[in-house]
Amino acid sequence: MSDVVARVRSVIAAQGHLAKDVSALGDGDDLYENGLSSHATVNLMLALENEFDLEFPDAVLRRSTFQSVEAISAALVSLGAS
Amino acid sequence: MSLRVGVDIESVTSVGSTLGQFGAAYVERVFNEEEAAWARRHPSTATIFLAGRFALREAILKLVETDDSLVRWSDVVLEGGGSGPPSVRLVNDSARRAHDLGINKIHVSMGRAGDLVAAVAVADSDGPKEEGQ
Repeated sequence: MSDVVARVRSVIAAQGHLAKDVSALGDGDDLYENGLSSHATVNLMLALENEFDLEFPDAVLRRSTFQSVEAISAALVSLGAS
Repeated sequence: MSLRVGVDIESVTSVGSTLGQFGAAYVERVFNEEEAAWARRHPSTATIFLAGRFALREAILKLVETDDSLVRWSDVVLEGGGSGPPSVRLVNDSARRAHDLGINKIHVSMGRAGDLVAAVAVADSDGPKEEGQ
């Protein structure tokens, strides 16, 4: 799980366009409150799919899935990421 | 009757950057085949067109948003319109949510200034439906 979290943080750093560096955020901090836009969510989703070689199914395409490092990592693990 | 309003602004440059990075995967996940075909036929204005369509989707999804909003862009079916406003149809969970909110018809408008495109969606609503309606 820690490797997944580290990779998620790396993808967020490249694609999230946050107001502050993701390294300054905790795993549970709200990414939307820290500047994640709707369109950056698309970039994040597509980059995560490339990074982990999987696809987010429609059922998990909700704001809460992309709300924090923790939430994204949990969703990826549930989809088989390791 | 009440009105619900959704608004969104997108950067054409950001959409172009995403198109350059993710290409077809981006188009297939967010836009429908009609929109993809329009973009292919009009390469010089495709990025502006897709930025406008993304802004429209976001504005429309805000009409039906909840505490845990969907980010399911394919739920918003935009048809016709070319470079102007299209007709709007919701499907799947977004359609059910719109029904529950008593939303009748959705009207949209778009504008552009420099790198930014803006979209506004307005819906007239009869108010939330009682269970079983």
